Amino acid sequence: MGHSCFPDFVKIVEVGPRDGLQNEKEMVPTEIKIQLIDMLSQTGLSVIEATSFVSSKWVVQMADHNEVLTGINKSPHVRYPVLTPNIQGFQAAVEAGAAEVAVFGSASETFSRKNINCSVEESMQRFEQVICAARQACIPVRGYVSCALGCPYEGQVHPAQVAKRLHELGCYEVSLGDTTGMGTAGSMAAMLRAVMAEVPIHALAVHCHDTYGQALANILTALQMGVSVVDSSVAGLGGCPYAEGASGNVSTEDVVYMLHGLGIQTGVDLAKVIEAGDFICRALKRPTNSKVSQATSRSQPSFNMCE
Amino acid sequence: QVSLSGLKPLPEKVKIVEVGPRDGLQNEKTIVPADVKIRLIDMLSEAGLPVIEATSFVSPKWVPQMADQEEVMRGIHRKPGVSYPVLTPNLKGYRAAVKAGAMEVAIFGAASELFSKRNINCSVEESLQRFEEVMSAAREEKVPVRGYVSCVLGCPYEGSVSPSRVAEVAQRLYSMGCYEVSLGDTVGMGTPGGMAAMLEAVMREVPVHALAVHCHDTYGQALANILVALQNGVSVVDASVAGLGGCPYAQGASGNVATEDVVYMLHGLSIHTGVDLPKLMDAGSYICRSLNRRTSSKVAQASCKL
Repeated sequence: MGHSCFPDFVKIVEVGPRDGLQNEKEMVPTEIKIQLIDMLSQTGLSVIEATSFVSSKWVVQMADHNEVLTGINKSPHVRYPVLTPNIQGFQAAVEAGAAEVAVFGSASETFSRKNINCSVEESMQRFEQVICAARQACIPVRGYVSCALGCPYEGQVHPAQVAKRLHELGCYEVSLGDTTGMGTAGSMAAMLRAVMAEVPIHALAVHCHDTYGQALANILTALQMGVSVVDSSVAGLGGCPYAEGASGNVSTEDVVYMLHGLGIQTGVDLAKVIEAGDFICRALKRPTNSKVSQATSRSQPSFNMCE
Repeated sequence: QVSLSGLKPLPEKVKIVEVGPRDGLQNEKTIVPADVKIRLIDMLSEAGLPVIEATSFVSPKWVPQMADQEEVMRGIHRKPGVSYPVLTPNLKGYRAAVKAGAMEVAIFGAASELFSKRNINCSVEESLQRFEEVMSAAREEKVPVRGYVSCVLGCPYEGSVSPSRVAEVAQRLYSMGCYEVSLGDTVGMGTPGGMAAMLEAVMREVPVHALAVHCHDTYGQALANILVALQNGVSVVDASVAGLGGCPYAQGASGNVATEDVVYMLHGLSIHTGVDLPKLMDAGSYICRSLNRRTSSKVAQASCKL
């Protein structure tokens, strides 16, 4: 009574080094990025988004993409996808040793134009090129849909068709992003019902932002509906570009705490993630956004947080 | 109403019990003068909250923040239809509360022996006996009493707490005459599975309409825990404006869940609360300025700049 069936295992996709750092004001030197990724590689995380092959004139933080990808100590148990917005980015990524890539679609026309300067359809065409080339090179592609639970410009949007397109084009997984964090459990459930009519659930992930504090409740809802892949960012790195000073990505530590508390396996060692989070926060000279990290660094009695 | 993944449909209405002026301020280091407390409570009344815990009739030597209890009770504008319960740890506190005009009181039990001993210096059984005295007097004077159970999802000293123990204490409070029992995750360590299991045990002893949840956000789990409680039929949620009230067991960590964030979630689920979110946020900004601290509400952090 009162429970729904949760997945036994949830795969966490760690986006801190890319999505997190990309949205941090402080420029992080290459060796720090490498050390962060190396620490994360030891935590049991199986997917760590390493960097982005966008033009450095747009995203300065990711200008060192080559050095990062070639400099990290790649664990055999971890995959290191990188963002590739177009075919040039894809080719550069492959040259630098990328074995998995990701493309970013949007459920909102206005967001697409403002964010990547083209319509949703135009972006799909670019991605098709990337996915074709990736297929030839046997490189898996992950798709993202931004603004899945609402757009900062358009308000409510309809991500199901975009998700379907990405999946049909060949993305093995589609991550549905609540880009502004404005979604709640109700809109998450409604959105997933619509998307699940077009894309099989095992191919779906949720990428929740915690800007309005709703992320864990939204993730819980997604889990109750059968989603078993969750994106998160160590220490909750990455503020919200649409609400200055507000938080952005949900913290990996807080997600893992909830999942382990639910008896869901992740393979992740929470204590090691907290350490990686502390490391990057010291380097960024900012406090962590993770509540679990804030609580455990100062609590007097120590709780057993093991899986 | 949205029925999430086949579980019982969510309640259409949720009553929010605003604990900021008492539980919140009690756990803030900065002492706030009576007129600021009164203004805060008046603003919260205007925001549409149906229940606002106003103060605590504990001895001021234990809780200096609540030393102005009488002045606060006398100074607030009571909005018709809104209740202003106050904490009364014993008969003495109860008498003082009624004298100062209180029309509803609250008592605090614990599901953990160690917590009871360390927090109020007596065993759980002894505390329940003290409460019997308060209950007797309240029953005679027709003053409603709300009961709280601390440590329902874990104790800072004992670690895990069994759901059956929580159920026992909740049942005692309910059968003593508490019209409602608020189940508190005092250190915020609970997660949704634990919440569901605990509620399952408690609901065998106390009807769900008489239950409330009081979640702390120390580990970021509060909204997820509240959501699960709603899915299990709970329709009363305690929260603290601006997330006032840090955690006394983990220095610098957060405590109470922010009312603004709860209301945002409930309204997003089309659940009626009667609360005007912008006015609530005004109250939150006001008290944060007075305390010279940043809000702990993410909704407040996001909204003021977009």
